[in-house]
Amino acid sequence: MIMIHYSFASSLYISQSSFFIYVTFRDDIVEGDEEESDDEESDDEEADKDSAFEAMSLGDKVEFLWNKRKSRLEHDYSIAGWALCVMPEVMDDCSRRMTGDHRDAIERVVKKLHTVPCPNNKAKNMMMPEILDTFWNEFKQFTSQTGWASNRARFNSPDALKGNSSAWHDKYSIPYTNILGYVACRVTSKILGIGAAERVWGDTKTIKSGKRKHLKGNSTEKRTVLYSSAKITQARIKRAAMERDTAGINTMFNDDDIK
Amino acid sequence: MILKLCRLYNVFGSGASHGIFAQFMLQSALAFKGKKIGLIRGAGTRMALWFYAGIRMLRLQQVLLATIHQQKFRDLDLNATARRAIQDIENPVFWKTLYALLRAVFPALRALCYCDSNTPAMDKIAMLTYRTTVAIEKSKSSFNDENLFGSKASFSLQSEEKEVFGEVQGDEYDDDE
Repeated sequence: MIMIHYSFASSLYISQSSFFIYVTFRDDIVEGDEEESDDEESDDEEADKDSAFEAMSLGDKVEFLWNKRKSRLEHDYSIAGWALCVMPEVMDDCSRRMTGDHRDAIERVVKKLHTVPCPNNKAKNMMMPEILDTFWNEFKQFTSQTGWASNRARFNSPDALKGNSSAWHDKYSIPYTNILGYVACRVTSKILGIGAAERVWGDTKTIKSGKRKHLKGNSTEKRTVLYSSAKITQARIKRAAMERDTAGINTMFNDDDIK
Repeated sequence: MILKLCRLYNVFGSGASHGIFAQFMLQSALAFKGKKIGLIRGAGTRMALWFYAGIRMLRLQQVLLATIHQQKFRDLDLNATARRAIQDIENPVFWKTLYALLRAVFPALRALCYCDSNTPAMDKIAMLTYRTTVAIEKSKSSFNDENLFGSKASFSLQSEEKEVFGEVQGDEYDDDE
């Protein structure tokens, strides 16, 4: 059994002439009997990392921390979205910086979105090489504004200028393409956002109140997990009880629900 | 920087001192065609709110300078905190530091705005990530400049430190109530 413990604590402190960033980042993977020896090794490694981090200049620290987070933003889907964006500013950037690595990332997304069972009806009878080939043909027409994308007025539509790429592809790509429109609508659409983080922050605020407002990271994290789990369980029990009481498709909203 | 932003907000933006606030808002209205644009109160409860507060502060630099150079402002009876806030406004290093910091994180803030909105934005994330990398690389020399980001927080910012970080620093309450 693999236990994965992940803890992350960061604090940012800025003053007029100083700008301190202190971050501890720990990934501990503990497996079976090797727990203690692994712990010691990871402690040593972490101490080395901490001392190396402390020795850096402020500019290097900022760059180091940013590079650590950057990889999570530059994933395959965001690269595919960037390549298929219709906003003029992004299209210019794409035409200047597109490399083979980016094309590999886009290909991985196309493959993933066309894994069986695939809801793209236009690609039902196609094999993967044919799907990829069709996509790149359509992509070439898109970037060079030829073929199905030859109507340049569409690239000056309000959706294109405002950067509503998913709406643009829905109107102008899907009816004319087999693969690109399907992929583009998915990779340029709404990302999940920070709603989950905000909800957990709501639980954290409940715990960090009054005398407990100075709780440190580890303690807060553990208490938040317990509190959130308890609330979720409570909500499930309540839902189950309500479904038991009011089961059936003919159940109507009535005055009792308002009370 | 956070503490100085907090102090400037307390003196000019919060309305706690009516005379200062009234003059500041009057200057703001003059600068923005009748619209009274105030400072933003920074907090840790919303992602990057201190940076948003910093951007607004930078935007209102000229308004703040215009406010403190008025004769009727000079006639006000100012306390020690207000006088130190005025020193910050008159200090070009403060503004340069703020500018250098915000220039480095501005593309990341744009990405955060997109992520925080309810409109599709996956297509802009890769470009803004790249631009943040470039901005941080360009700002590295500024970050390493001891004149801008060198010294520690001054003693005069203690009250703001208590306001932002709380009365007790580093104590952990592990009571099991």
